Amino acid sequence: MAEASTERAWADLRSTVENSRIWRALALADIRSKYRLSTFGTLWITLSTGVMAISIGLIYGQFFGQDLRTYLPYFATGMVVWTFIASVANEATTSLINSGTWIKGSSLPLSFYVMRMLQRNFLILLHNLIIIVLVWLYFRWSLPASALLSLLGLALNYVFLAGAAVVIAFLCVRYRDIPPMVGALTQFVFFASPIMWEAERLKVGQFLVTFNPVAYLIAVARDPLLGRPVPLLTWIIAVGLAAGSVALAAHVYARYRNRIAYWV
Amino acid sequence: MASIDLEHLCIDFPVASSQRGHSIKAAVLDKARGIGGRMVDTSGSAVAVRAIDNVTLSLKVGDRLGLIGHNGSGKTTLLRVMAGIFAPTSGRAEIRGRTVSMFDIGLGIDAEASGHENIYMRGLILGMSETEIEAKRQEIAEFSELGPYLDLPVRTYSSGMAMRLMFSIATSIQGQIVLMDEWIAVGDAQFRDKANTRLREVTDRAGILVIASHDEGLLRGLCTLGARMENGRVTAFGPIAEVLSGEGHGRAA
Repeated sequence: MAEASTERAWADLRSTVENSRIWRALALADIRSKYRLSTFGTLWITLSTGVMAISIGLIYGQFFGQDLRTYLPYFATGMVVWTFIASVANEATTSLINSGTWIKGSSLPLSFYVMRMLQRNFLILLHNLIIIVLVWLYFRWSLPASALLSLLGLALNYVFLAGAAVVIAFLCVRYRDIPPMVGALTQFVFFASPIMWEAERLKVGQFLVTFNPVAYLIAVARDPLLGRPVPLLTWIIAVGLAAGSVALAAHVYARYRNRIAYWV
Repeated sequence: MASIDLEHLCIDFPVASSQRGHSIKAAVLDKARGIGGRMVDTSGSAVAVRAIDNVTLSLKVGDRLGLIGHNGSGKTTLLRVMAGIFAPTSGRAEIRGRTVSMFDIGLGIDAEASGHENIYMRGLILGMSETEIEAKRQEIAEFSELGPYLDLPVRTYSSGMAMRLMFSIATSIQGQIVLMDEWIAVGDAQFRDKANTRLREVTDRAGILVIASHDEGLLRGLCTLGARMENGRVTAFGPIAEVLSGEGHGRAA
């Protein structure tokens, strides 16, 4: 039994990579059908995040008495990355639960439903990148070549979230108290992470940054783009987080794969 | 070579409940005698319904199996095991060959998307490659007789037209193993004849066909083998005519 389960899990993983066009197409269809009849279409994604990032950025920037030239790009970029992380964490909770009819009606691997959700949010992230471009056009901070490292940072986020989403999705099918828990937790993590505030200005509570995985993940995606130095240790930890998350996901997947169809 | 081998297959469905498991368990146990699968008390803490109980059978190329039995006797569950959706709780299930399951043919249909877009999406979900889909698009369009409607959102279709589309896509893919939960009936009288012929072709070309149905006449014409299911067990297995007349013997070959 256990061996068959592991074998099937490997087959699923292979299929997830080889047949990625299926979940990518499903994700695209999700986005398209949501905005199909609206005039602005998918630009609404950009608009709604943009309004939030810029208005909160302007207001809080004054509260914290900071130079808007540095604060607004910092907040907007962090917010875009955070939105990606938070929506994936939240939608992961229902990605399998809501796919019940699919799981029982087709032979697609379970990982497809999680990847569909992740990819959908990645497409949303791509829309939100426009905000960063607009903010840059306004402030024109200097972009070093190392800004490209942000792409690597983003890729690490994608990998980390793929693993985390599988773990969350599987746990949520079994324990239905977890979805609301994740919702509450992401709210807390938002305030506890260096998104609205900068880690260097923290007077007490450095542990919020030191022991907060989200702080590293946001840093590797955001800081290179802003020309802020990213310590090597931060990169190492981010890579470690991504690898650890995928390893844990593989374990959970192989162990519970065969039970999910019974639980949804 | 396609084949299906089930060996002492058991499928238990856990009855979901949080901490109130015990009271629900008691209530359900009292009510559930007589209908559906048997309730089994697995570990003392969790309760489960045994949907498939010790089924052993093997099918090889050329076999056409009709599943007979009341609601809740385990026909659909058995089909889903063969489709690889449910893994055995105990026992073994080995399925070799490209399996096409004809249940839920409307899965993934997006009402806001056009007929053509849906052909693409449904095709992907069924496991076709992009070139395969493009190769079949014309044929699907012709068979469905939807013509220019395929450029309109499925939302604008009548339910009969939507069914035609789903049916045409579902039957465009050829599997070595075809699994069907009830014969699919679509469209008006004229289209129905055409659809029946096409479904017949798909099942004829299949190496192995397994179909669950309450229509004995249909099974008689379609199948070579029959299996009668009761409470998750196969109580009779053999040539379809014998099983239908109640003469089939108890064990699978």
